[in-house]
Amino acid sequence: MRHWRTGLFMAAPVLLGFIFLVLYPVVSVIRDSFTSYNPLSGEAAFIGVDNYTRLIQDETALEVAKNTLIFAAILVPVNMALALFLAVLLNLHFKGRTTFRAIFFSPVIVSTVAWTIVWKYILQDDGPLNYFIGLSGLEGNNWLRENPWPMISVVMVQVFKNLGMNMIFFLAALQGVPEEMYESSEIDGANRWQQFKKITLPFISPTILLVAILTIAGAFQVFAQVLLLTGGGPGLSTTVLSYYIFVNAFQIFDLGYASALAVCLFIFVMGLTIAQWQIRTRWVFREV
Amino acid sequence: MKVKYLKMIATGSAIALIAFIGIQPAKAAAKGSITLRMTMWSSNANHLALFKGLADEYKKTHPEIADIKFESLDFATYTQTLTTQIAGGKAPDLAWILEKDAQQFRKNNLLLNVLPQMQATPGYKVEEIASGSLGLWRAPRSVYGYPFSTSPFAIFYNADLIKAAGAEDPETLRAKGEWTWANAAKVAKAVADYEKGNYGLNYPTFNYTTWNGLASIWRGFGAEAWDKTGKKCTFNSKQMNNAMEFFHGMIYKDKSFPAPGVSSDFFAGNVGMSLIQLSRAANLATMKWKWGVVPLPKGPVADAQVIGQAGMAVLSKSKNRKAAADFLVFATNPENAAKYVAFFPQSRTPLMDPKVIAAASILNETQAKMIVADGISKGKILTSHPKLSSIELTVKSTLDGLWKADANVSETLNQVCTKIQPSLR
Repeated sequence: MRHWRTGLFMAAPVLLGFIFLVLYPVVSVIRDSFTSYNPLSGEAAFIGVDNYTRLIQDETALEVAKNTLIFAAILVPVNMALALFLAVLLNLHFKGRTTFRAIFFSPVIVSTVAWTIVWKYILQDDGPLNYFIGLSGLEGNNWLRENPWPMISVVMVQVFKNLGMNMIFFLAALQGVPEEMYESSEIDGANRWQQFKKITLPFISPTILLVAILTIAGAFQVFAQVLLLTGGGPGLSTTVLSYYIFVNAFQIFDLGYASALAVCLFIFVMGLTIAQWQIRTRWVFREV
Repeated sequence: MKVKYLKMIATGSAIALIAFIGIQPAKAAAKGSITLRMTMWSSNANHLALFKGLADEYKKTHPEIADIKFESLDFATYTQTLTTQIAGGKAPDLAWILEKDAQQFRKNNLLLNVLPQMQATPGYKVEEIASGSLGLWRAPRSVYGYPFSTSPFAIFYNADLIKAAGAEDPETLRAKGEWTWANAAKVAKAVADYEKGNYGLNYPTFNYTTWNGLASIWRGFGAEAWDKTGKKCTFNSKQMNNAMEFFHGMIYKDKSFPAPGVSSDFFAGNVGMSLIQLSRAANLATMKWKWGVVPLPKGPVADAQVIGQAGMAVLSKSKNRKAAADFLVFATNPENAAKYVAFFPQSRTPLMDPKVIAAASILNETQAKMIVADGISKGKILTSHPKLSSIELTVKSTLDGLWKADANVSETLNQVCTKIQPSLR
C-alpha cells in the first residue's frame, strides 16, 4: 500500500501535466468539434455532427489533405535517406568529422521561426539563391510563388531543419552495430553494399522505425514553415492540414470546424502510428 | 394583509439597497495598479514617440496607470495577430483597427462604446469629427472607436528619377488634366526601362499579401468587389476584368510593377512612383531627391479617390476597459488630435484645414488641399464587409492565380465569385 502511494506521488507531476496539458485540451477539442464556437465573440452552440458533415463535403479540405499527403510523401523519404546517408558518412573515421557533425546538427537548435525567415530571404525572387544561380549563367525560379517550387521549398526548408536530429539517431544506432559482424562477413567475401544491406540495415531497423514514426508524425504537424514562407499559397498549393486548422480557428474564427479538422488529423496520425507499430514485426530485425 | 406589508418592506429594502450600491462612488484604482497595452501596425520611430509622449503626459495626472505599452505588429499579419491574441484570452486594452475589419469587429461585440466617456469629457467636441469619417465606427448612441487616421491614397513620386527617365512629370500631367491610369502606366514603364532594377510604381501595403487595397486601382475602372448590398459578388464584372488586365499588364508586360517575391523600396530612390498614404511618407522629409505628390489617377470610368482609415478602439475584452477608454478619450481630444496631423490626416474639421496640415506635415498647402482635404471629401473608404473573415482568404488565395505571367484574368475573377458568392448571401 505504501509503495502504491509513493509511486503515485512520484508520478504525480507527470500525471498532472498529462491530464492538464494533454488530456484536457484533447477532450476540449473533441467537445468543441460538436459546436459552432466563435473564439472572437465567445458564442458557441451545440450543432451535433454538422462540422463533420461539412468536412466531408468541403472541397478545400480535400485539396488540403492531398497537399498534406504530398508534403509527407516527399519529406519523409528525403529526410530519412539524407539523414542515413550523412550518418553513414560521418561514422567513418576521418579528420574533422566532429565539426561536420556539429554543422549538420546546428539547424536543430536554431529557432524554427529564425530559420524559416532566413530561408524566406534566401528564396525570394531577387534573393541570394537566384543571384548565385544567375552567376552561373542559368536563370533561377520564383521559388516561393511559382508552382511546383513553393511546395518543394517548404519541404526542403523542413528537411534541412530536422536532418541533424535524425542523423544523430542513425549515428548512435550505427555505432551500436558490432564490429565483428563486419569482420566475419568480410572473411565470407561480402562487399560494402552487401554488408550495408545484410548487417547494417537489420541492426539499425529499430531506429529506422523510431525515426519513421517521428518524421511522419512531424510531417503532418508542419505549420510555422508554411505560415512564414508561403502563407499557404500561391492559391492553396502549400496549405497543409495544420495550417488550414489555424486558418479556420484564427482567421475565419470557426473554432468548431477547426476542432473537427484537428480531431480528424489526430485520428489519422494516431492510426498511422499504430499501423507502423503493428507492421514492425515484418521488417524490424530486433527490438531494443 | 401581513403578506402585503412584508412585500412592501422587501421591495422598499431592495430599492434602497440598489440605490445605495448605485450611489457608491467607484472605488479608485490603487496607485500604479494598471498597465495598459495598445497594439499598432506602425514601428515608425516618430509615431511611437508621439504615442509615448501622450502616455507620459497622461500618467502625470493618472497615478493609477503604471505604464502604457505600445506593441508594434507586422502590418501584413496585424489583424491575424490581434484576433489570435483576443481568441487566446490575451486581448490588448486598446488597438488600432483597420477600416476593413471595423464592421466585423463590431459584429462580434469586440469594441467598447466610448461615446459616454467622450460626452462626459469637457471640451472633447465629438461634433467636430466629420460624420462621414465616423461611418464605420458609429451606431445610434454609440461610438466604437476614434478614426485617428483618415488618409487618402495618393501617388508620391521621385521627380528626379522620372525626369532622368525622360517621362512626363505626374504633376504636369495632372495640371493638363491628363493624369490617368493609362498615362501613369506610361510614366512607370519609362522609369522601369530607364535602368535595370528600377520599378515605375510600387504599392507597399498591397505586396500580394492583401487585396482590398487594389480598390485604389479598380475603382477608377468602375469596379467593386461586391454590390452595395454586399450580397452579390462583382469580381467577375467587365470593369473588374479591365482593371485587373491593366494591372496584370503593368506587372508582366511592362515589368514596371514589382512581381511577387521581388522587393522594392521607394525611399531607396529606384522606384518612380509609390501608391501610399501620407502616414507612410514621413521619410520623404529626409530624401535628397526631389519628390512630388498627386492624387490617384483618373480611370477610364471614374476619378475615384480612395481613403484608408485607421481607428483607435478599446477592446471589450480588456480587463481595464474604463482606464483604456479614459486614455483613448485623452489621446484623441482636440488638443492631442492636433499632434497627429504631422503623420495622420485627421477627421476633426478644424484639423482638415490645408494650412494646419501644411504647417505640421511634409505637404505644402496646395498639396495638403489636393491630397488630404479634397481626397477626404471626394474619396470613399476601402472595401469592407461584415463577413470579411470568411471570404478574405478565399479571395486572396484565388487571386493568387492572377500573379503569374500566363494568368487567365477573367477565369480567375470568375472563380473568385464562384467561391465567395455562397458566403455573401
